Amino acid sequence: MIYNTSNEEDAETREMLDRLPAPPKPMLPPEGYLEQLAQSFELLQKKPIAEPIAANQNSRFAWKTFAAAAAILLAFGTIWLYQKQDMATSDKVQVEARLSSDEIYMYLMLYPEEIEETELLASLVLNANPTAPSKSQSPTSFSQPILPQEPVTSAALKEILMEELEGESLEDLL
Amino acid sequence: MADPTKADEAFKILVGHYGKPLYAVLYRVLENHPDTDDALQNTFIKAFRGFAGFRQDSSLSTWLHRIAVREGLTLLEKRKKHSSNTNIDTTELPFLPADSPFDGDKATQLLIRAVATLPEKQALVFKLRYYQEMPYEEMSTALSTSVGALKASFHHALKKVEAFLLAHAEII
Repeated sequence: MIYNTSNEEDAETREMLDRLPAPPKPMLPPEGYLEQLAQSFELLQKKPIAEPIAANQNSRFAWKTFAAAAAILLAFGTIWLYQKQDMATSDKVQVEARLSSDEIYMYLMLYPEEIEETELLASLVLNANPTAPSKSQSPTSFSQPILPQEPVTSAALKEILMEELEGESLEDLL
Repeated sequence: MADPTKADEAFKILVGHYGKPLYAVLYRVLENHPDTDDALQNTFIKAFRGFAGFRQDSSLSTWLHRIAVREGLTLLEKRKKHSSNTNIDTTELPFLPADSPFDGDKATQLLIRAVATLPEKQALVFKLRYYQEMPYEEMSTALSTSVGALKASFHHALKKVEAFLLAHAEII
């Protein structure tokens, strides 16, 4: 065997190579061909040469780059749409939180004996962990987590109630 | 190289020195004289025009072989585009043309037929590695493929060739 670069191969490959027939003899150019080629330098200089294989690879590369860029743009677009949707949802939650606070005030107006419990209620409201409402939940559901715009304290609530009652005492109202 | 006489002389030296080995490599890849001739002309012209870009981090021979293999591949790609019947039916034994230049014994001719049944890339790697003894590193640069992938390709090719030879052993 004339193969002499087998030191780059693993044992299995070397064994297979040893079993192979000898490779065909190198092909020689036809008689006088190279001499003719050597004489034709001037003519060859004018020969238009085809794009090399690398150029084809570049073309494939350009397509791959385009596809990758399109995929990235699509991904960013999707994220942007989701974010936009999410902002709209959070706006809804804030409006809903305000409505819910009104509901609390109404409730407290009707049941003033529970005013003393507002501090506890306020702390519960403030410590509630707001999460986005699920689709199955009604947007006006009172049981949903709510995030008030301002901290609600018993003193503030009393003040608001007094304003609402226009100086009337709670006992008079009841 | 501004002096046309010197340029002409340099071209003659280049062709005289590297013409035969490059022709042999290109013939392995293209397997016919007209294509080999075309690719060899392009190789020399490109080498000559791009000589200023030769960084001498490899030998001149390696550099020229790299250009030649790329030219051969370019021509193969072109040929593939122009030809619609490139699929080889591996169920039948491929026959060498009557005017085949290969004059080896029966075993070698069977080897050539076995290589003809390989997928294009494996056949190319097999020819460059087994026929031309091209080092993997050099092949890696010319074919823009990792050495590991080339070794795997060569290994698969060898297995297929061996299986083909065993299946057709009675011919020898």
